[in-house]
Amino acid sequence: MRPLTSPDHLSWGRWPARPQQAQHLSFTTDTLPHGPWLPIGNQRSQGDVCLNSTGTLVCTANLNRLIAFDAARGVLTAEAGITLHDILQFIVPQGWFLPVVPGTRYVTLGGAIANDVHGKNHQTNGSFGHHVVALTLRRGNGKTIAASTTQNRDWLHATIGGLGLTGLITQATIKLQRIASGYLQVETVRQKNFDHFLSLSKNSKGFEHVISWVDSTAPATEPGRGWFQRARWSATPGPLAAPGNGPLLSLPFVLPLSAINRPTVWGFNQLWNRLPRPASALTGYQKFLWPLDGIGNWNYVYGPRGFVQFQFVVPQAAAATLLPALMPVAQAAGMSFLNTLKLMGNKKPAGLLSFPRAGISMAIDLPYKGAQTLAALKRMEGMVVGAGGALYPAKDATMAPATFRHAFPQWRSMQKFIDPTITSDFWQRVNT
Amino acid sequence: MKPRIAVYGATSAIAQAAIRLWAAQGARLVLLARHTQNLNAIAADARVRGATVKTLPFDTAPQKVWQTCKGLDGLLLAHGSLGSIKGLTPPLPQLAETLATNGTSPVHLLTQFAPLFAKQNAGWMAAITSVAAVRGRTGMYAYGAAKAMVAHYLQGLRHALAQQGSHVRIIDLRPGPIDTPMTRGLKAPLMSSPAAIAPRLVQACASANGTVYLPGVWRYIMAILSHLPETLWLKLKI
Repeated sequence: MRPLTSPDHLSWGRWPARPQQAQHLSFTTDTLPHGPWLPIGNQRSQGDVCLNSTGTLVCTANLNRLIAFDAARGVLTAEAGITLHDILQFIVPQGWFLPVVPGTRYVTLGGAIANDVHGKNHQTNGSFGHHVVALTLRRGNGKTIAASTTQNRDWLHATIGGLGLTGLITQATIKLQRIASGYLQVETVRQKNFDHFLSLSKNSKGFEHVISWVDSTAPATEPGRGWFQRARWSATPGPLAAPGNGPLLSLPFVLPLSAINRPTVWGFNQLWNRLPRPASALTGYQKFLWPLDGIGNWNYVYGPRGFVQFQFVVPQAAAATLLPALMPVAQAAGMSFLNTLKLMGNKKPAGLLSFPRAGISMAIDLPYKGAQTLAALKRMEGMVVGAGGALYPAKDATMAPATFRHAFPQWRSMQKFIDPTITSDFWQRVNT
Repeated sequence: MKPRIAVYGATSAIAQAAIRLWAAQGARLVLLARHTQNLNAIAADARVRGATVKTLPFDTAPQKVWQTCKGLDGLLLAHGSLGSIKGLTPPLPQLAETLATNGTSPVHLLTQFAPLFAKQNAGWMAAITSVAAVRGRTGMYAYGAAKAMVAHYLQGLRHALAQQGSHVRIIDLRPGPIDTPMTRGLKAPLMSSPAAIAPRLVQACASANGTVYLPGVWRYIMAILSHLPETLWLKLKI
């Protein structure tokens, strides 16, 4: 259990790059470090929510054991360091699926809970936290807390979306969803602009998965132009293949320069827009749910300076005026490709600090270019705050404390659940 | 038939990865380790994945381990410890412990299980040794010497059984540097992972009778390194 200092412990965007002290747990009972610590999963979040520059990161990747599985009811209990990929390897062949998956399957169960992640089916299935029925916390003082939908509910609510601050999640129990086949019937529609996106979203009631990919090179007259996709699981019994092991190809090292610049983004969007797309196609779940998981270390294309993601949700009424104003700022800052737009559902958030909520959510990738990127982030943050929206802590490294407190009014009730031995760069930043 | 396999040092990272694959085959497993609570976590995982599992304390008598499933198809000795020996004059108790854990203990177990397997005239015995067993080098030669003892013993045992016309297979599983809690903080070339080598390990246990490097490339690397003239080897900073 030797601690090690590693420059490799960065968040997925590789910015901010601050050296981290890390310690790996092999078993849930292993000794925790002295001094401020932070449990982390597979470091797929962006920004500083998974960094702890003044203390120790406690890596949970080896806490990846299954504990119990009820194959008839679809209830799974596992240690929290297991990745969603590893869970799917086990459950898909048995006809079960995770009710909520984010844009990558390489996050851990604990990370999915701590960031209360959501996916393309938020409007029907809510967020990941809505499907957590029980979990066990290990606190810095050696105590354990068992929380579930029937016992210590307040601890369950504080830990869902709790950013790892309530303790080490040693195990969690989740409810799964039945699938008849590993295929989805996917419909793709050319989306003309934001209004079109809204009407398509509202006319997609019978579809579990709804997502739209926004063209970052769209002219100011057509904000929100892109591709609209909606899908439902195929009801016809079909193959139930476990997800493939590892990506098809992988970037072996961080590119010396960012490959994301005006010409490449323009070129990609031209290709992406011209790609022939069948109006309706039976598509394997991996290809539809995680197009980027096919390329290992895709974050390396942004070069040594890394990238940032700006993800927000704003009330629907405010979105129509916000998006046309925000898009040019993002475009000027080098807005990358594969930006998503989604009409979220109305379900009551699962956790005290949950990000997923009713409204329009958008995620934008920007290459990190120093001061100009920070200035653009500040401007966009101001616009989102003005529209009554929230930024996603799991993707953030720059929001002001006031922005956080305003969008997450429960931060005050959160205080009593926070483990006094745990902290993170994010938490220190928004609490100054 | 679901294979019956006993694993010593079941809490080691490499053993865990192998156990997962055996569990998916529906194996009947007897798992032994010193830390009961950690062992239980591994047993639960194996059960969920399809195995029938019995856990036993590490120092259970081999005869009793053998009887748990009324005979065994396989035995994997996966326990070991890199120890913390540094410099030319380590404290003797520390040296003794490294030699006992990595050398004497597996040899004793092999000796006690050999007649049981020989009488059954079927099955396999495997021990995880190391590429460090091939040639002594600075830093880990106590560990390497203990692993070399096991490797040599396995070789002799294989020869003895073959001479008797026995069908029992003896496998020397020889990993290169693997990213496990044991090697944490160690910088090594061609680092592999338990999950990456486990399929080859399980395959070797199912069919091999000899030395199997994990991953396979280490056979060629070690062939070169072991044949370097001593004068050259002494100058090599590895």
